[in-house]
Amino acid sequence: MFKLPKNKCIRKTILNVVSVYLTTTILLVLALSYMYLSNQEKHIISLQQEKVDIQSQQIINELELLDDNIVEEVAFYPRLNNIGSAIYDIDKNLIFSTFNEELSSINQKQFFKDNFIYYVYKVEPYYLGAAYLVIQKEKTYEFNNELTKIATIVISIILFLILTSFLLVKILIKPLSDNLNLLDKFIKDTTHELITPTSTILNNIEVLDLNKVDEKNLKKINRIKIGATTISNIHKDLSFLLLNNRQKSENKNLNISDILNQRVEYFKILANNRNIDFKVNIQDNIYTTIDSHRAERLFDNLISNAIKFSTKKGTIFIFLSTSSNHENIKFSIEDEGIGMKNSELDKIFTRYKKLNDNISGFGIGYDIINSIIKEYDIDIKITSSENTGTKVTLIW
Amino acid sequence: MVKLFSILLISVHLFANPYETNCMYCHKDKKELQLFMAQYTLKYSSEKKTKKALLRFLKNPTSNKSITTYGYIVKHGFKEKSKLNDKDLRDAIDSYYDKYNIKQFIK
Repeated sequence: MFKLPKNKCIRKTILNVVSVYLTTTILLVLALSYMYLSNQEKHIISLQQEKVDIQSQQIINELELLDDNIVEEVAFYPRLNNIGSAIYDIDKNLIFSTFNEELSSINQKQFFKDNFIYYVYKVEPYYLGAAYLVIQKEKTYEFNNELTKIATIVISIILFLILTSFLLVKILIKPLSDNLNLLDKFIKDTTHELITPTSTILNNIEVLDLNKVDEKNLKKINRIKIGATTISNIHKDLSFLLLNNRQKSENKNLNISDILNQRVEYFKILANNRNIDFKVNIQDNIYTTIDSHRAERLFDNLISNAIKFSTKKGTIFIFLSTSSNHENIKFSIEDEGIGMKNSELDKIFTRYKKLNDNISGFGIGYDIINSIIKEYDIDIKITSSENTGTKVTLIW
Repeated sequence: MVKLFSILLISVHLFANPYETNCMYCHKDKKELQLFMAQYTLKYSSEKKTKKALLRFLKNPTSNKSITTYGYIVKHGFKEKSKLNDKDLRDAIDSYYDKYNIKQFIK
């Protein structure tokens, strides 16, 4: 059975191509079927016409016989199997009918009404006063048969088209899909390979006795720590992005004030390196139900973005508090950086979209933020102006 | 008594159907009347056209307007113009049509 690839982009492309292909071909098949059916309908009617011509003549002959013997008390109107008939006078008033349907007009030689075809014949002389003979015949089962046949063929063609379209798209998209899978595998392997060395570097720096290190070497160790922290952060983001779909959230009632304080502390070394100052206003002991790993990714990405886009010697304002009625939690982070245009704000959540090529990164930060705020139904508001800074506010 | 009888006779005459008082005096044979109606229907088809043809013939009978055969005319002679006024003539035709129209015999 055909399985859609896991990659969202490929899946979307396949579905788009298939839907366009199927819509156009199905419309074409339906148009052809309609044309064929109309043609068949005409053919069936003409075939029926020949039979009905004979039957109408039979009725007219019987009417003639009745008219010759009209002195009898009762004239029994001729009735034929499988058809209904009616006679009308010259002013088109009904004289007698064997069917119940009322006809408002008999001006056409042939017409459809409900499930019947009506054939109108002129009668002369006017036997029993009849100037018109109307024959009623069911739309026949030949036509229904034809309809069933066409419906079966159309459904089969549509099923065949669905199947072939998916196979075709799969064949066409295979090279692209293979390359993307390869890239995915490469990123996964690289990410995995980064865990051990990064952790080793960071752990060893932590246990170093910095009192015994001279100032020159302390600066070097600091740079190593900054580099390792950056790699660790990238590693965590990539892991989250790659494993997000497979890892189930372990939600717990967590003290996010503590988590945010820890994350601010973690990023201080990066901020200090660029002479960026943190102005922090975090209310103590704010609790909410969230997965600790996801809370960490959310704050890390917002803080690291603020650092990346800040100008040197700038200030980053971080604020966390509950609303006066304790129903909502409000978090905001504001930088004094390069800011963004309004047009750029619309594209901010697109994965791999880098708004500024001069700043390092993969363009995945806001994609991660977006997936987390969606999961926890958190409202986000981003205000930004060029060369002034950006403020991101979260409310949940 | 004679007065009362005269009033009764006049009332019967006044309210009598012109068809019964004028036509049936000569046309006593039902089958013959039915046959005439069949002939008119065969030629004129609808009620409206049949009544119109009958009125035209009764007001001024000619062989062209007659639907009977030449032999019938030779045998029974030709009908005189009706002396009834238009209203009575129409009433008589309506009664004749109601009684003998072909439609009612078709089952």
